[in-house]
Amino acid sequence: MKALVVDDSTVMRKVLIGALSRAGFADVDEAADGTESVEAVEKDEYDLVLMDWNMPNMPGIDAVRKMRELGKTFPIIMVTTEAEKARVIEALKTGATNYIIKPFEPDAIVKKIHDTMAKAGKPIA
Amino acid sequence: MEKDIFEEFKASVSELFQNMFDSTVEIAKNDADKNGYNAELVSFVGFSGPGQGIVCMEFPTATALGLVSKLVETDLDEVGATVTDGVAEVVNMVAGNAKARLTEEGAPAVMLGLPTVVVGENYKLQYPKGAKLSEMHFRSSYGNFRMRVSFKAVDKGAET
Repeated sequence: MKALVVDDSTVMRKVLIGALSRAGFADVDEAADGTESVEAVEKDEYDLVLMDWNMPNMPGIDAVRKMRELGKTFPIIMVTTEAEKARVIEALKTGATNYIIKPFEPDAIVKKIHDTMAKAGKPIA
Repeated sequence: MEKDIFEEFKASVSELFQNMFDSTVEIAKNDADKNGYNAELVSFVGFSGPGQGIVCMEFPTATALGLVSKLVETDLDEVGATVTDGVAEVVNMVAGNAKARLTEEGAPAVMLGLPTVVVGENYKLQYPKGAKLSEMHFRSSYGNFRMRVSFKAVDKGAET
């Protein structure tokens, strides 16, 4: 299975790649903003996207909207410091599948990935 | 009851250390812990919208190296792009968490800017006029560091 990590922080991308690896994803691509992420999903097939919210060029929420407009059905987990209830609701209405707030415990994000994939009908063995 | 802005930032730092650094922080009390180091890396992020201000975190190199090494699970021994990016993410997470704590349900959210990092000690931040300023000194197993928070609620009548 293949995942895409979208975050303008290289350190956070490394953190998330580590979490994906622990969750069972061996193949992970990276994008540094929303624009790059939309280009990536147009070129490649993904089983999961982890998406930051606040990024230069195109914020994550707009990238989620674009991906859904493109007909992409893979699960998208927002991984963001945007913790207000209104933001969570906005993300889910826009097309995000799940949501985790930074800072998170290492085990929490691995569990979130497993839960999201299971709900999407693609459980990780 | 009105929330104590600076207590919320302190709580945000504590939560970050618990969740991502498997550690705790405490407020430094003696002068050596407060000022006995040079803070060579400074990361800050601005707020706008219904609350305006800046949160600024100042790290000695050793503290920054320790924190970012933990995040990327690699031993880093010099300041480079990974370390500056890492301390930017630290202030981003502290500010984001505090922002959520300070936003009342149903109220418009405070907006966060993108974090900026300065390497070196000779810098000066211009805080928003009329904002309250607090300086907090922390001790942690990764080393000591400081945080300055400047924050003010914006009078809606003053926005027009």
